Amino acid sequence: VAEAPLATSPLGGLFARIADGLHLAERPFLGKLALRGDAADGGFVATVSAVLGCVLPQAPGAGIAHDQRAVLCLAPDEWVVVSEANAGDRVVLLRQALAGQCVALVDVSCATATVSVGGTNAPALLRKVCSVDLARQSARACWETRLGPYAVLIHRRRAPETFDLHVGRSYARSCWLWLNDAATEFDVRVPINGPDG
Amino acid sequence: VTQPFRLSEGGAIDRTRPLAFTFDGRRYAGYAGDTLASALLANGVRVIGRSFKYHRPRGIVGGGSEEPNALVRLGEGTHAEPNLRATQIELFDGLVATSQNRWPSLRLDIGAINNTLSRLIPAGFYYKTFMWPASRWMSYERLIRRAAGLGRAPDGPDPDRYDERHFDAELLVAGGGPAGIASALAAARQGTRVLLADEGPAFGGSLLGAPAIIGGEPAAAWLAAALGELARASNVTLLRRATVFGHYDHGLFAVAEQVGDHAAGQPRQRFWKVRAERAVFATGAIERPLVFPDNDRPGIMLASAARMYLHRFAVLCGRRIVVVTNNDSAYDMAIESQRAGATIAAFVELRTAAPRGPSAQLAALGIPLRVGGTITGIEGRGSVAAVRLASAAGEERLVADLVCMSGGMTPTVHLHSQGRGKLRFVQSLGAFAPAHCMNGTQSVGACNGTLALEECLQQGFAAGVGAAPLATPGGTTKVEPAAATSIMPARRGTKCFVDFQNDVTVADIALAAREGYRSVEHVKRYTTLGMGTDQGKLGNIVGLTALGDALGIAAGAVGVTTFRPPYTPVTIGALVARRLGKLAHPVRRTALHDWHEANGAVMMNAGLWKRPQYYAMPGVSPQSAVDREVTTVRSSVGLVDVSTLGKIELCGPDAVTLLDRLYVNGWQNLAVGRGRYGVMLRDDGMVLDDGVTMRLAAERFLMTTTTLNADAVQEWIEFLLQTAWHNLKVYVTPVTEQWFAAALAGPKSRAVLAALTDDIAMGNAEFPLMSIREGRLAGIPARVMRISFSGELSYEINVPADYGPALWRAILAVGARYGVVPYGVEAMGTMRIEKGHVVIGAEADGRATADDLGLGGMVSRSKDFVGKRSLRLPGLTAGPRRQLVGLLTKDPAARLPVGAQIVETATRGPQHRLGHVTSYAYSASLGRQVALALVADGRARYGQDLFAVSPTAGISIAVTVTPPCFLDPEGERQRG
Repeated sequence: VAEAPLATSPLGGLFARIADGLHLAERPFLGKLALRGDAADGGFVATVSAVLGCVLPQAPGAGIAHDQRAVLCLAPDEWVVVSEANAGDRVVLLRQALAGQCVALVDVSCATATVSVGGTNAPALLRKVCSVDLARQSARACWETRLGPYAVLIHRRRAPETFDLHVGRSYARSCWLWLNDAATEFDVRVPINGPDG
Repeated sequence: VTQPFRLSEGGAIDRTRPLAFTFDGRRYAGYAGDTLASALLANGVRVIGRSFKYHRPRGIVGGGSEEPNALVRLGEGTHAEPNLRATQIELFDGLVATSQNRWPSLRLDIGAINNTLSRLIPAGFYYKTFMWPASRWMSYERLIRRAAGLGRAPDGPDPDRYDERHFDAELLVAGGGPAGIASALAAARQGTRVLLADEGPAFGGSLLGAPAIIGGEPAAAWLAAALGELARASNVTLLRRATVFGHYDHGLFAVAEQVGDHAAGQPRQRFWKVRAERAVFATGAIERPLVFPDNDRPGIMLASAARMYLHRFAVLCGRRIVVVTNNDSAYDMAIESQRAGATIAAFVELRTAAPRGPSAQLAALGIPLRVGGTITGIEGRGSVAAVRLASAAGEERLVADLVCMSGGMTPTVHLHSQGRGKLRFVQSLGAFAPAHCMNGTQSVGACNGTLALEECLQQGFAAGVGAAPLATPGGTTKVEPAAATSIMPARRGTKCFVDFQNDVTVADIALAAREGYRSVEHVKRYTTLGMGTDQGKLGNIVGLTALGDALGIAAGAVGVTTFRPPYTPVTIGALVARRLGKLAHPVRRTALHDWHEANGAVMMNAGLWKRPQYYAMPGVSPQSAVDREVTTVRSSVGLVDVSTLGKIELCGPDAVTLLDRLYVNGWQNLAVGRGRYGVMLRDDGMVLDDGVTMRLAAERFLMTTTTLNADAVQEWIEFLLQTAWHNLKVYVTPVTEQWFAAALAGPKSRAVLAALTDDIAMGNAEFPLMSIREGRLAGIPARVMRISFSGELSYEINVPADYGPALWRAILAVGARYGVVPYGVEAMGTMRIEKGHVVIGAEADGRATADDLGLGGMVSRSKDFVGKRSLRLPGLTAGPRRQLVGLLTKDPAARLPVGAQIVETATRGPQHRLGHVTSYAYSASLGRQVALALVADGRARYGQDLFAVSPTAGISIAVTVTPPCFLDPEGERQRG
């Protein structure tokens, strides 16, 4: 991304490796696009599917990964598209394609920080504070729920044990500190450039 | 001999691992596998603590979580934990335990005078004695607190770590005795996801405390095989030292796990929140004590507990034993004790006939049986020395050092009952058992009133596979008849206890009954029966029986008190888990947080946000720092981080209609690229929030809200759209977090921005007040809005939050030639007070209408909006309403007290209140204090002299009422 040197991610690329199969790392500069529209409108679904190059998932909690991009269905009329690249171009394409329709297309790339939680202990870490039993809901790819005091979008990027947590940007540092503390019982190492909280 | 009461062999203890511990400073030895209680008993320690009210010496009564007496303080200093039951503390090397509730020592306790004075302190004496005068209660209470109370809090903050975990199970089995293990086995074999939890360090329950045969083999073999199978099953989670202490709605169970005081890296305790589709309660039963004179003396214990200590810990609790029972279960205990080397001085059968088989066994061992006997007294204070009996054989005095009592078994129905399960009184048990199964839960085994091992196993297996529960739980079991003779007559000068921990006697309950108490709940609270940390696990049923006797009501008909969580006390630390200190308080930071901190910002809280209050400078007072920030903005240019303001994007053809319905003012004619200040009301007509909304495109708007209402306004809009206005075609997307926002204010702001952009025309005509432009600033894609809160020429710049620091640095670099300063919330507040702008929360305090705030002119008459109907209510139209005004102090330097009240005269004493000061600041621009206030009919009082008073601070300051805007009322500066 050409503008990256100008940009600062919420966690400055923090990562922590925890012994015994647990690691936390920020995934900075992801593109995130909030999409609202009428799923019953075949034209809308077809247009979005064509621009994104994949079928628009229809069931809340469902997600489709395609070409470095994940399309997550959060509600019957609400989706988020997470991509490795900047979301801006996709917004423009979709906006052109959906012109005149009742939709919402908002770039929310910076609105959340994304923390990847991976390793064999990742499900156990999340289970400490998440009331949803992710392991048993194998059909889902994402959940809008709470991790302790934090409202998060959990995206199971690779089953069974790689999760992306999307948490409100302003909460990112508190949440990071909190995740590291929660990981203590899995033998956390001090993060290399950890914030002071 | 170091452990005089330890047998030379037997028990589930590891004799190769001796452990040293101290109790009240004295060193003792025990073995790995011991509890503190078993080790103390092995060492012949009898007095463990003093009782709550009478400070009587007390010893160990039970063997597990039911223990009422043996409460100790474990550990020292900040690690200390009071009121732990010695019967549940696993012995470890170096353990330090201290007795409680005595002063100066366990042997010599001054408080024991209460025992002598007990006739003066009957049941409910607190209520009777300290009623008058009511004003003295606070001082009485302090004295009582010191004299009573249990244990002592640790000496400082708890240094230990507590944690939590969620768990979903298809089947939760509470209790790892034979019935519970059977349930878990049966369910596990079906592939069910099982969580089996037991409060003890080992599974086995009653099998650990008494010899038994299962399938023709010793129970230990069955137990080992079953536990091995469960441990190998991947669908089974085994939790030891874990008490299922609470049963809540929808299959939620709370479990406290003692992870171990010694496991490195692990929390000390873990709080499990378990969601279970089904639950099997296999929580067992607790033996009831018997009531006789001085039945609380150390050396009097439950027969089942003595039997458990014998088998599990190889501790013979006494050498000359009197056994007293009203049921069959104590016979085995007597026989086994005699065989282990003790002498049974007498076996007292309270019933009129003894069962044939067991009594023959007693006779064969030469144990004297006293059928229909009763205990009339106990000799010995610190320990039982002799027992007085009355029976057909006449009166006897038997030398003994231990009395084992058995009053029948009480099913542990707590979890069933916590879930609002009903109970029924089972006559043959003399106790309550579950009356039905409910909400996917089922009680099996002893807690279901089933005492025969074979049937416990059958019930367990059946419940594990989810078989239909028995129509009448426990109904098939032949239970031993437990006669009502659990309460023996009192003798003058003695006490017969029903609740050991709270020192409640039969006489107390009788007194309560004589004073007119009928309800068990009232008697409980009046006498404190069952209100100790043990919650009456031993004493409740006996107490209810005593109440029934006093009221002439059959046992069981008096009812039972409500069971509430927790089953056993839970450390607050476990419930709090990691919600401590910083972890308890999430902090919201803007993208520029680090810059603020690195540049001297003094941060303040705004909700969860941290915002710069002002930027401190060495050698400069806070007020001077704020004055400098304000002066620089007014004279040149300043920059403030306003990222915390709420931002909501509205998209759709009905977005304008939505705005029209939300705000008091109209939005139909707002052009694309232009913005408007809006005020929205609650449905009661009071101002909810305000802010500027910009039209980004024909069907796209960007709404701003106040910092603190950002979430509330968005939720309010969503609520309206999903309920009342679901036909409106508009989508609401919160974007507060997406944008970094900075306001650049001051006469030089245009010049600074012009130097940063080459695609936004900055001229006054091309970019007028209340408009928005998109373009690039320093190469960063930005939205620039020309709006003003400070009253100066001002621009609010939004860039994607990742670019916030880069934008900020670019502006400061370009602005340096104008002496640009960053400014904080304090300077921002000062400038808005100078301008008379209202703030939600200060002036709009939830009781102010738009008109009260001087914004009545905005309210549309031609359209409908939320709150409009309420504006016609008489309370909002008739009578004087408090209106926004400015206040100038007569003395320019006088500081108004916070929350000052506005009154008409300077006289001290009560007078009518006209209003109050809502905001005030020192205005460097005007060289004086200025304030905003809400004053009754304020707009009619311009020029009037009033007084701002603080009766608490004894301050009265003369003020003059003015219009609320002190600076540039025509607004020339912001249009410049």
